[in-house]
Amino acid sequence: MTCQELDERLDGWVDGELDARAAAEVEAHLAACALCQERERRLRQLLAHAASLPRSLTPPRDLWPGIARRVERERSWSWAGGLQPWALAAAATVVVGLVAVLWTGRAPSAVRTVEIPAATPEARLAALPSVSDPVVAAAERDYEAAANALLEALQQRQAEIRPETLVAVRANLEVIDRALAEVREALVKNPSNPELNRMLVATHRKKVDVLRRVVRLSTAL
Amino acid sequence: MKRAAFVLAAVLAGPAWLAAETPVDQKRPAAPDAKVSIENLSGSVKVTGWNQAEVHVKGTLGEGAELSFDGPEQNLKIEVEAEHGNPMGVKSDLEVFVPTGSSVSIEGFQATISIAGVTGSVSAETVNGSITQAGPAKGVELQSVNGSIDVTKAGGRIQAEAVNGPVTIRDASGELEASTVNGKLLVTGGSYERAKLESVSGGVRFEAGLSPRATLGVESVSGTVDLFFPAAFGAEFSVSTFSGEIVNELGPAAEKASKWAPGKELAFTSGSGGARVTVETLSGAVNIRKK
Repeated sequence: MTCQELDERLDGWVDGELDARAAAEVEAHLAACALCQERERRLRQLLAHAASLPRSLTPPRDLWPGIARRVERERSWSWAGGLQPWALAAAATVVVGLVAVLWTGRAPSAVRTVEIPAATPEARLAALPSVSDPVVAAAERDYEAAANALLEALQQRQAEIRPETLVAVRANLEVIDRALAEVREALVKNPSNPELNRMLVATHRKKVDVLRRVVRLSTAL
Repeated sequence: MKRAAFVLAAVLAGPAWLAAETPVDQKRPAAPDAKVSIENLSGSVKVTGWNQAEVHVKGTLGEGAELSFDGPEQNLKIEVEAEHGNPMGVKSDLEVFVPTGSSVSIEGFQATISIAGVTGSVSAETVNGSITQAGPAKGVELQSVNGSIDVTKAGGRIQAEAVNGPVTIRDASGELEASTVNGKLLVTGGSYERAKLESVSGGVRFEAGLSPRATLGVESVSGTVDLFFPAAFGAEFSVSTFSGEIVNELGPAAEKASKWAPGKELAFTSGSGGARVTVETLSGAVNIRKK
């Protein structure tokens, strides 16, 4: 088992969901790999922390009506093809890599542009609603850093990848980013809700998984 | 007349076709339970199980592509390689026949992949293209970023992951882990000991069987979750949503989780219990329906 294979099964391992054979493979790898032991330790720590949070905190006033109005307004913006406010804020702080993917011999009309955000994790996160829990916030920074490293790797490969594939990847990342924004909005209402915090981390993980897969396959060229 | 038209068409199309593609037709002896790995970054791969002790590769290679096909009977490797230039620009289409009991591993990037009639394990991944598996494979792992995934009649441990495409699992059994970001996730027919379904914004629909001690976990950020069970289904349910709605046809209505938040929770036991069903969403509705 490689470190990557272990990483893909780590969630199942800490949740006790692996079958006996898979569990034995994970156990054997962990016994011999200090790096993966550290990954396991950090994931267990994060999950234990999330589980220890209270399910609900009583806010000083009912914030939900205002949040609901904002969410609805942002959804209608999104469906209408516009940019959500957080996306506009993010756009102001990130360097948007406009890369012309030129294919030899093509006419200018065939030039395609692909936007790859290349912000620092801190800049991206600063543009979004804040997460108050320090452990979850630290995990977010880790995931954002990983996502950025992968985006940079993808950027280096994009001249060799079909533009429509890059456009599809970007569209999927935007879906995940919208979901992250939605979870964060919910966390404004209920900052210590363990399920929301876990969902936030899981959605970050999904983004990193998508990027990792694209980069791994593209570097196999 | 028809023949003349065919010949004329062939003459006109011929030079371009000849320049672009090279036919391939190669065979090698293979063990009944051979491991066959295939790599074709762009184009298509179609794998079919058959009752012969050999692997047969047919199809066409894109301009400048070469086929590497080697390895011992137990471990065969098929790879499309680009002689020069951008390998992503070389589109090759392969049809591969393998012994039924083979284990098959396929890697693409901008490739459509299909596998049928293989009873060993199957793994396949691509970035831009669909993946289809049909037949009683034991252990399936399929991943696509921008394409659909279809699994039919597989068993063992099944993992299916798409991002922008739908994931459909039909008449399968064993342990299932399926996820999608934006596509629909549909599980229909078959029976599972464990199923874990995740989506970000795509809807999730489960209308399959669960064994008496099975666990079903569903998680979605904003997708609607529809679960269909027989009226006599025995399970412990735990459902929560931060801002979605819950409809329950198998038991009591959901209650508000908090005085301050719009979330709802639902915990109940149907029938004599046994299985365990947990659902969590942020804003997606949860509908528990009678079959």
